[in-house]
Amino acid sequence: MTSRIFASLAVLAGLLVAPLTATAAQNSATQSISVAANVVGGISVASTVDLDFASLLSGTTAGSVTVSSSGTRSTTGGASTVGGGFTPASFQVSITQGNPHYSIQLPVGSVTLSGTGGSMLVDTFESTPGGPGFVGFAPGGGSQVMTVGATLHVPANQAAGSYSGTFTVTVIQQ
Amino acid sequence: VAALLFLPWTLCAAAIQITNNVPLTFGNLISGTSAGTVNVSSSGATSTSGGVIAFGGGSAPASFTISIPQGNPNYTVLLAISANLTGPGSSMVVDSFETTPAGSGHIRPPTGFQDMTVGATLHVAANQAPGIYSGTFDVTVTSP
Repeated sequence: MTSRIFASLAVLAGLLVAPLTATAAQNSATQSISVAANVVGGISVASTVDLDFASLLSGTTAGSVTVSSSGTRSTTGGASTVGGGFTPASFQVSITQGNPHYSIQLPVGSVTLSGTGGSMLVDTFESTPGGPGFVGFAPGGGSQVMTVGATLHVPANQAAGSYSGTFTVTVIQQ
Repeated sequence: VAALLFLPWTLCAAAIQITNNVPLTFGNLISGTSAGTVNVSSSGATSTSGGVIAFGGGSAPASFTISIPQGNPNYTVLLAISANLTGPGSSMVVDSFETTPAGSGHIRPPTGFQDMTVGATLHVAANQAPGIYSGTFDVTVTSP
């Protein structure tokens, strides 16, 4: 009989200790939270020469003037050109670190040139180097020159004057 | 004895918990020729200093939820002093951890939980090597 009482007390002591230990542990919680950052290599593109269609004459019918990225100029329809001075745009692509491969994004639609006599549209942008699926390569922190041509649409009897606008070129490091 | 056996379960239910962990992400960065920092605040704003450029979005503060189902509703948040992010290049340090809402508070019934967001500052060396860097930091919540 006596020994039975002692056994019960031992069990009770054990149970009393357990809750106190649990209380101390439960009042605090620690979690590890992850942190991430993605450092991409440096790439830049700088405009060095503007795209210039130079002097042209509009006709009694609409036409177009194309300055190609390879440096030639041609016309269609009623538009004709006068003199020289035309040039494709030129950009310098520089990759300072990271993957030396890059792709080029040119305007997909048209951009508007505005001037004293109204506006004209420029579209069909293309580049050298470039083309569908083109991947450029500028290794060793180097840079690469890219020229860009496009087509200017000249309405019939377009008012004389100087017309200008801007377009955006994006280079994406692979 | 039956009452004492039940007591530990009651205390377990009152346990303070941290759940719903969302990582802290600094997004896409370009390191420059000089060192710089990127800060993602607990309110969700991203800013830079020095030679670092952040672009393309993708940055977000960390978040977690404190729950105190019952018992003392007061809590205090302890944040890491700093953490190291490791990756392809030299490791980067993250520090200046801060939360919204800040510091300490108490959880009002009947919800029993409090959502927290955590921001911090990432230090990027000049010409930091490209790649994905990752690490962890500890958040401890205590209830008196």
